[in-house]
Amino acid sequence: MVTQFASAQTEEKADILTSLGIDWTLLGLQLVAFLILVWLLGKFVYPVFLKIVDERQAKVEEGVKAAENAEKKAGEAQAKIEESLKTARSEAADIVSTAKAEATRMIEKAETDAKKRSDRIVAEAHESLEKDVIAARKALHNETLNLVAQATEKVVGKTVSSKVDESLISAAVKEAK
Amino acid sequence: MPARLSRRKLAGYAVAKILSGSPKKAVIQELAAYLVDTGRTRETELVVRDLEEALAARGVVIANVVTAHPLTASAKAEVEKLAGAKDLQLRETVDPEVLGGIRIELPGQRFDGTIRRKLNALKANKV
Repeated sequence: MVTQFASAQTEEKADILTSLGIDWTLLGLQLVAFLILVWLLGKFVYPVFLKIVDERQAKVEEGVKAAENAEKKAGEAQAKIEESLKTARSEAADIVSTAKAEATRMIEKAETDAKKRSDRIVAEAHESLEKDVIAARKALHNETLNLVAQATEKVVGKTVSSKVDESLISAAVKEAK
Repeated sequence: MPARLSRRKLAGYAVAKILSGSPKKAVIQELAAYLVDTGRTRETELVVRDLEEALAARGVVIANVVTAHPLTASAKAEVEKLAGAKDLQLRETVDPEVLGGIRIELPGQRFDGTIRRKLNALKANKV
């Protein structure tokens, strides 16, 4: 019964494949054609695609490397910029410091010059004053001499009598000897 | 036109004539005539000075004396003593401007002891 059932089943199976339209010959031919197609693709098409993919991958890697290089260079440039900025800040600080020192020096010089100028002005004023005083003293001296001479002249002209004159003459003659 | 003589010779000649006793006036007139004749009237002052020097050389001194008051006898004596001449002739001038003292002018020398000179010196002593 079982064999019968199995034979019945096998027959039933063959009938199913047939009913599904599967033809073992056609399937073999299709398999061969598929293998030929695979071989052709592997021989002529895949290498081209693989080559393109490899090239693309190489380009991508190259781009990545370039990007890495660029990033590295950018980092270096940033470092250089920071170094330059640091140097520039240092120089600017030096310049500011020098400018402050120069300004301080100029202010001190201006103060010194102003003091010298004021001292000179004061000295000149003193000198001028002294000259004026000397001139006034001279004028006073000369005026006094004139006044003394005039007063003496007036007094002597009125008071010298013959007798006094005789004694003056006697003194003068003695002086002449 | 007479020969041109030097003033010294003229003075010597005139002094010799005066000291020999010739009238002074005549000698002076002769001398003046000579100066006029030779056109040397401008030299009159110089000739007079030479005459005084020539007289002084022979002991006759002419002294010009200027005072404010007339000289007294004692003052004259002192002046004569100062001149040291055997024959002193004073030519006195009274000038009140000198105020006092005496100015004596002898041949070749001059002394001014007047108050006027001292006042002038005081005035001139300006700074």
